[in-house]
Amino acid sequence: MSDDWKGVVARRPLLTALGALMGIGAVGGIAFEASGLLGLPKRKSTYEDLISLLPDRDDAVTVGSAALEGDHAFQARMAAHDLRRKIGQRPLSLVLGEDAVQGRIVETGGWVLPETFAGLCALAAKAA
Amino acid sequence: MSAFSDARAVPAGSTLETDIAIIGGGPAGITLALALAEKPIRVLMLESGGTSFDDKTQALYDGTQTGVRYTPLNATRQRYLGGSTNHWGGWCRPLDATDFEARSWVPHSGWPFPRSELAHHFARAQALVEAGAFNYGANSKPWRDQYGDPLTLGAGGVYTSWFQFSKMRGSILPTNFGERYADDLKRLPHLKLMLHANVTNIALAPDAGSVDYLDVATLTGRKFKVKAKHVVLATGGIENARLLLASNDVMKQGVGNGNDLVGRYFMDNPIPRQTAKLVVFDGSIAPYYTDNRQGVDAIFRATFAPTEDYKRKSHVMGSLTTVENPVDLDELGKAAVAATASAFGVDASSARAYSLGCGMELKPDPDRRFTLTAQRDALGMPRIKLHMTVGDEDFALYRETMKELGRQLLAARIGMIHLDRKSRESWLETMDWGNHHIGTTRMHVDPKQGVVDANSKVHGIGNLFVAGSSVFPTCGASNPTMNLLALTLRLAGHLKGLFR
Repeated sequence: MSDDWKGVVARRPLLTALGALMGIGAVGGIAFEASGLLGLPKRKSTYEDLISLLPDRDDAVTVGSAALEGDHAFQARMAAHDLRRKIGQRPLSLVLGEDAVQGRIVETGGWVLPETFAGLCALAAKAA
Repeated sequence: MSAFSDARAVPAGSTLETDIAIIGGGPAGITLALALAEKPIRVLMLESGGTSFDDKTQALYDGTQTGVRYTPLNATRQRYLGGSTNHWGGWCRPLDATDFEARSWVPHSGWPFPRSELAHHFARAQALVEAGAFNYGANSKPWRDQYGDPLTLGAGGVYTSWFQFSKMRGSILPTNFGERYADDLKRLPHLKLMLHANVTNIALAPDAGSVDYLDVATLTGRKFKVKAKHVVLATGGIENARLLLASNDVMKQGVGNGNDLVGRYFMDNPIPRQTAKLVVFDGSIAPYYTDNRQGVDAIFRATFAPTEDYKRKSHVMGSLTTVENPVDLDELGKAAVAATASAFGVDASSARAYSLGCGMELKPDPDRRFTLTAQRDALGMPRIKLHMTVGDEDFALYRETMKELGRQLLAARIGMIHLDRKSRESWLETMDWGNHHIGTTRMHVDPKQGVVDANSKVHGIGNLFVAGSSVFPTCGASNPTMNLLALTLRLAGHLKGLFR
C-alpha cells in the first residue's frame, strides 16, 4: 500500500465526521429556530440570571426592542456586568425605586423608565 | 344712574376735559374706573366699541403676521365694552413668586418688585373675576373631602397646584366685565364712559415730557380731542403698543419708544395639546384633574406645576399641565406599562392612560414683536404686524419638567409618563395659544430696559400710564387676567395718591 493510498483512506473518516457535524449543526439550527416557532423554550442566554428578574418577559422584550432601536451602541456584555454589580442580591423593585428617587431614568420610545429596568429589557430583547 | 355716552354725538372739533382719561373699556380699564370711584376724581373712559360685537369696529384689529402661526389678530381679542373678557375662558391662578424674580437662566427677567407687592390686591382682583374664595389650594381639604385626594407623587420638582374659575351668575361662565359691571359703572358719579370713541393719537407736548391731548375719532367720521391731567392706556397688550408706536408726531419713533422697546418682547402662553400620556397604575385619578369641579368655595381644577425650588435649581420655565382625556395605548405602551408595573411589583391590570396638555411660559424675546405697516385701517391708523417666535429651548425645558413628573410617578410606584413630542414640528403640530397678550410695554426701572417704570408710568412722559398685561416683563404660566387686575389695582392706588 502506497503512502498516497494510505492518505486517501485516512481522509475518508475525517470527511465523514465533518459531514456528520454539518448535518447535526443544520438540524440543530433548524431545531433551535423551530423551538421558537413552536413556543418551546429556547437555549438560555448568558444573561438569564438578569433577564429572569423581569416577571413579564414578553412585554420586557417589546420594551427592550424599543430601547435597542434608540441605542445602537448598546453593548450587552458591558451592560450585564454593570447591572449585576448594581443589582446584586437586592430585590429588583427596590433597585428600580432607587433609580427613580435618585434620578436615574432614561427615555425609551418616549416612555420614562428606570435606567435598570430599561437595561434589563434591552438584554431581554438581545436574547430573544 | 346715567347711561353711557356716545362719542358719535360729541360736537366735532370740541375738546373734552377730565382728570383721568382711561383709553379702553376692557378688564383693566373697568377695574381702574371702579377702583378710582371712591375719590372725587373725574374719569373719562374711552371705549372703541359699543356694548356688543360689531364687525366694522372689530375690523380695526386686522393685522398681518410672520413666523410661527398665531391666532389671527382680529380674532385673538374683542373690541367692545368688556374687551377680552367677552371671550375669555375664566381660568385664574396667581403668578408664582419666581415669576417676579430676576432668573439667571431667563434673559430680561425680573419685575421691579416681588410678588408680595401684589398680594394684598389679589383678594379684590379675585372678587372682581368672581372666582370664589382666594384659595388656590392653600386649603384644599374641602376639595379633597369632596372629590378625593390628589395623586401622591414622589418627592421632586412637580406638584399638584390649582386653578380657580371665574363665575358670573348662576350657570353663566365666566365673568364678562362689560355686562357684569355696566350698572356699577353707570352709578359712578365722577365717571363718564363714552362708547364708540377711538383714540387715534396720543399727542405729546412739544417737549415730549407729557401728554398734551388725545385725538379721538369715530367710525362715523366725528373727531374731537380730550385733555386729561393723566392718561391711562388700557387697550390690551397689542393695541397699547400700536397706539404708542402710531403716535409719532413729536417722538418720531413713537411715544415711550426712545429705546426701541415698544412692541418688542411680546409673550403669550403656548398651549400644546397631547404633550404626554400619564398612566396611573390603579386607574384611579380624582375627577378634578380632568374637569372643572364645583367646590364648596369655588370652581376649581388641578394642574401639575413645577415647584419654585425646581424652577430655580433646574432652570426650567413655568408651566401648568392639565389632564385632558382618557387615551388608548399602542402595543409598546401596553407592554411598557405591564412590564414596568410588574417589575415594581405593582398591579396594573386596571391601569388607565390620559393625555396631557399644558400652558407654557415663553422666554422673553425682543424679536417677538409688533411693528406698524403701511396699511391703514378705517380710522387712518397704521395696521400692525406680528412676528411670532417660539424657541426650541422653550419646548425642551417643558419636556424636562414632564420627565421630572414621570420620575416622581415611578418613585411613588403609582404610574408613569410617555413623552409624546420631541421635534419642533411635532410640538407645533397641535399647538394652540392662550391668547394672552403680554410684554409689549414691559416694566423696568431702567428706561433702557423697560417702557414703563415700577408705577406703570411711561418713562419720560410725566402723565402717561399703562395698565394691563403689556407691562409684565415676564409672563409666567398663569393666566394673566386676575394678575393684571391686581396690578391695575396697585396702579389705582398710585393714581389716587397723585390727587391727594
